[in-house]
Amino acid sequence: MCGKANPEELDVCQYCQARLKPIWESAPLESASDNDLPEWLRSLRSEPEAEKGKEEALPDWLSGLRDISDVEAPLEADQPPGTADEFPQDQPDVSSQWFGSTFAPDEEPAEAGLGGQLEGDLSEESISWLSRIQETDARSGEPAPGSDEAGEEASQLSPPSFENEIPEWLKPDALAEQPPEQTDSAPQAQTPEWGASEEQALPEWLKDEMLQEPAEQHASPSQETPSPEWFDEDISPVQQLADETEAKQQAAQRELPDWMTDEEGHLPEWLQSGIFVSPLEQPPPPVSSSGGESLPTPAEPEESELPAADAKLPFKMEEGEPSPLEWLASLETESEGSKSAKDLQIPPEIPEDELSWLSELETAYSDLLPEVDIASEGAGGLSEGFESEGLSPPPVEGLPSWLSETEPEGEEAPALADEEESLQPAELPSWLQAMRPLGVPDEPSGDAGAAETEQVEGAGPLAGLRGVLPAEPDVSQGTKPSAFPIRLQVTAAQEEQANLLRRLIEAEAQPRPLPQAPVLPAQFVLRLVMAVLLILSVLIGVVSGLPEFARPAPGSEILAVRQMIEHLAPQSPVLFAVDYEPSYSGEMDAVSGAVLGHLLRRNVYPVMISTVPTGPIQAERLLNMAGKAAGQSLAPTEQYANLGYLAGGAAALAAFAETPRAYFALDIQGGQLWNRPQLQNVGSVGEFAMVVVAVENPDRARFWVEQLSPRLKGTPLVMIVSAQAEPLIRPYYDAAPAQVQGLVSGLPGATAYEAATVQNGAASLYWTPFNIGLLVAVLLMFLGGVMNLIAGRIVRQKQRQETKSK
Amino acid sequence: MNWLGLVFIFLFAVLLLGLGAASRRAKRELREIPAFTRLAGGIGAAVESGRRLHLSLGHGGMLGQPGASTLMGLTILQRIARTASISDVPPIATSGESVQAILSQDVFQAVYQAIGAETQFDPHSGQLTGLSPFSYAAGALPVVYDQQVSVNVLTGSFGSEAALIADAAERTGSMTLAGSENLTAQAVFYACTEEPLIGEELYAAGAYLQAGAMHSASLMTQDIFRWLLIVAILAGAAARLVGVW
Amino acid sequence: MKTNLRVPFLAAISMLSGLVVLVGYFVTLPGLSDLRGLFLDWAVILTAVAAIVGVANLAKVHWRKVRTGQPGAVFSLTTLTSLVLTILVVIFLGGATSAWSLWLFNYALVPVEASLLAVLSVTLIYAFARMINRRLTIFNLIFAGTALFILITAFAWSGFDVFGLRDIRSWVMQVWAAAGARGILLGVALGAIATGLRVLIGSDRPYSG
Repeated sequence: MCGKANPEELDVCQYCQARLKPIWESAPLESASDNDLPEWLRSLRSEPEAEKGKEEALPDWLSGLRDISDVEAPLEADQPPGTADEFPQDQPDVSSQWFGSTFAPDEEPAEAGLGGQLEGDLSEESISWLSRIQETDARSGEPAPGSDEAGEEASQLSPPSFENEIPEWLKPDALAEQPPEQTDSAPQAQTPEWGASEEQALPEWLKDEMLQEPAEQHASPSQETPSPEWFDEDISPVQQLADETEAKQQAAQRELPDWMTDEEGHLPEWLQSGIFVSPLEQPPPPVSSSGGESLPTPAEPEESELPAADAKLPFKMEEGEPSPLEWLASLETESEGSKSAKDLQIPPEIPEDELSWLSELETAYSDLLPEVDIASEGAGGLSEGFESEGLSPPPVEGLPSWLSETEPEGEEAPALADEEESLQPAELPSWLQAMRPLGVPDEPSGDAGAAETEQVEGAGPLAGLRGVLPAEPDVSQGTKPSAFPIRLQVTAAQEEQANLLRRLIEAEAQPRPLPQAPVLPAQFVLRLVMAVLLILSVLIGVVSGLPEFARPAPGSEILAVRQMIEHLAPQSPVLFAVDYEPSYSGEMDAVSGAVLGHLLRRNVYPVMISTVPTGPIQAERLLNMAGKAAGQSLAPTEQYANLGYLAGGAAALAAFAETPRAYFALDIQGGQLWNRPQLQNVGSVGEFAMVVVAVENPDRARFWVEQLSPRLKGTPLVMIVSAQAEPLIRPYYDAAPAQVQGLVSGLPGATAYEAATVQNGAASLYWTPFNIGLLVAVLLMFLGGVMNLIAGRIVRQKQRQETKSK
Repeated sequence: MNWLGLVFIFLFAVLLLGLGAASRRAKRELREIPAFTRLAGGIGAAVESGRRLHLSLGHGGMLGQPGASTLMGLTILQRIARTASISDVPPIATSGESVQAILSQDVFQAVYQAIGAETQFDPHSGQLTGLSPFSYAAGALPVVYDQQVSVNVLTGSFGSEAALIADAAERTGSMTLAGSENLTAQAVFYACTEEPLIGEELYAAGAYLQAGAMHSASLMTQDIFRWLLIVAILAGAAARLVGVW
Repeated sequence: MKTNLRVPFLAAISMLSGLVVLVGYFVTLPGLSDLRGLFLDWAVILTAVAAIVGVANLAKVHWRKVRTGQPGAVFSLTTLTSLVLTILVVIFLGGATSAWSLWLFNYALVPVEASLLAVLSVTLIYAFARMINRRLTIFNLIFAGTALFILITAFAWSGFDVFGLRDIRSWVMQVWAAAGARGILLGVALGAIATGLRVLIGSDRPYSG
């Protein structure tokens, strides 16, 4: 992030504390809770509880190396670590690399992952192979490449929570207890901050080492873990320093935990070799290249440092055998520009058999770890990859996929497989399997990650690495999607239904043609024909007077009226109520006119009254007609009185019947009414000579009868009614005592009355046309009914037939 | 005879009040009258189709026996106006008498006030179309022909002139429900309309339109007194026949 | 809580006046009769005033039709013209029973209304013919048969009285028709009593309230 150069062995930038190496490369030491770990990992975590708190995530550079030990060992506490043969003897002294590197004290602990879990489980194993590496480095005499720089920079780096995982004897305090001459021989290195803080907790023999090369603090290995064989071998280069370090060891021996000492209480030889004595302090022994594995050749100047480091290795280095730390020192970037940023040098030649443990690791975790294409021919690719990622690889054969470019050796994989009890190579733990993306098939355990291991990323930031998830062509180079047919796959039934729905919707929008209305509707024609026939028939009767129809014989009700009128005295006041509507004038004028004419011939004094608004003027019209018929010209007030309109209906009738003077003081012309000689003796309706009511409405006729008859006191009541009211009024006439003394109903009654009184009034004139019209009407009703009945049946039959046909 | 009438009225009132209180607790089943059944459907169809309702109150006025028919017409108008208040086209009431016209306007105003839509009240919704029966019928014909009437309700005091209104309704294809206390009008309605109300069925409109519990009580009271009258008539006829009375 | 006193006040007036008129009809008491008479007079006056209001409403409705150009505006204009002319004639030319008024009545009102009655006769004939097709029931047939019988027997043809048709006609009209009519009228009377009593007790309020 800051862009500044950092040593290759660093996992974290020493300036901005940014991560330089991927997490999988630098497996964090922090591990998940024991419950989440598989059993095989959990079993490795057999460190005491007291020290668990001190365990923290290893630095990335150490975690990377820890993974190597995973290949070597079955990762179980009781499993011995890799043998010394497996470990390259000519490896450069890594301790200078490690302990020279500084660690950021504030570096965040690496993410807990498989690597972290492995780191945690391998805490007890870390010391063993770490010690081997340093021993090898010391024997080879090659200084750790870039050790100076590593030593200088070592102080700048700090492990992520490393101090918690540092055993007591590895802490700077322990190192500080070493002989001062040893500590002073090593180039003064800045005590890393972590080292300074932990200095007091470290054993003395370790503190000196920490002062010279800030040692990498490792989690204390399990006491139960037996030391590898190569730890027990006599290492000649180390013995050169044995005397020197023996003192330190003995001094610190008392502080060493029991597991670090043998039965006699002495440090193992590999520890006595002063593994933690910085090879930089001692002249590195000459490094004899074993010509083992083809590894990147470390830089020449750094080779002098290796023998010193090799002397400290816990295993015996053969002469001429390159320091096992050479591979670390040889790790260097190809490009000169980035060389300063990477101090890690890959040892050029490391025997393959010594790196078998790495291959075992590779086999075991090749499916987990990204492929790192570590070219055996050259370290360029590897260096490039490590330069970009800041990895700390041992680019030798047998290394795990993330460390080496080669496939795990099959001959060693079965050996590991046999030794492993719970974890098969490439067997994913359950929790990791759960994280596997859906659809990704499980790879066979034996060849887990083989395809990925072989595949070298060719593009992108991970170019050159092996075991990387291929970005191309799966992601960046997308495949052409398969062509799907655009046309909907519908069945015949669905298509038919869809067409039906479409037709229905289209029909809904289309306006239905309305049936054209005929110019002359049938109803209008029929009505017109009826009207014409009626009019013609009546006209013929009116005009021709033919045929003559006999006048009906007057009934008793009619004769009674005639007789009562005949007995009226002249100038007798007769209350004549004109209570019919103008529309019924045709009938009622004829009937009322016959009776009123008779009254006028008897010279009575009619007093006109009405309960309808048009009654007064109707009365005037009736008087004029009757007068003309009688040959008289009636003068108001002298020959008749018109009271006018009586409002209030039946209630007003009852009141008027009792006190007529209270309701009408003046007549309709405004003249005095009750001072006339004809009306002077009239105080109630019962004091009239006769009451005649001309009404067409049966209800109103009843009102007159019912309201007046109790108050008439013997005054005859004559009802002149329309033919439609006769059925309701006749019972009043037929009753006993009769409430109506005379009844003239309709045109037949009027005609009969005119015949009885020998008059030729309007009723006689209307009789013939009336009969003709009546006959025509009856015929029309009958024929029309029959025709409609037949037509209706025909229409219903057609509708039934249409319904059946549909 | 006057005391007999007064006693009759008093007993009728007492029974009416008692049955009215009982009707509030128990609902009485009424016989089906197809006219009111179709009326409910017709009102709904008119509201949905956006057509007008026409109610004619006749020309009987408020005085006398025709006044009862007018009161029933006003009750029906109130129920219809309340039901059709949601319609886009408000109902219209025609009358042949001035007091009826004013009362019909008052009913509309009260209905719209009750539903909180005073602004929808139109004074012209209650019209006087004529002072005489036939002029009233002639004035009501334009309402039937030109106002897109879907349902015609002729309830009140009518004469034979009601046939003109009924015939116009039939020409326009609208439904007609008619009832009157006038015998002539009943005969005309029977021949001209689809759903005539014969006899006192007009006075049962309130109960069938759920105008209130007192309307149901009125029906029960009328039934009780009708049976009393039947018994009295038969008894009187028998007594007259025997010669006792 | 807002109390509307208008409704109870109007109901009290209605109930009181109705009771006075009803009781006064049956009970003859001097004061009660006078009060009844007074209420009836007021009702008559109000009816007359309502007639004037009604005429004004009629004129307003027709004027709106003319102004807005609704269908039938010509007939509305004719109506308004006739109304104005009649008012002018009655007021300025001698009153309601003057010669001019009588001339309008004789030659305008009566012919128009008589014509309407004539149209009614044609309408009734047509309705009779359609009634049989509308619903063919036994009651419809009885109704139709009775109507035709009455009309035919009313036909007065010399010597047409065959099999005593006129007596049968009288029997049908005076017994069956009258009895049916009486029964209907009794039911109508009971309904009218119930309706009136509902107004008297305040249960039915045709007025706003």
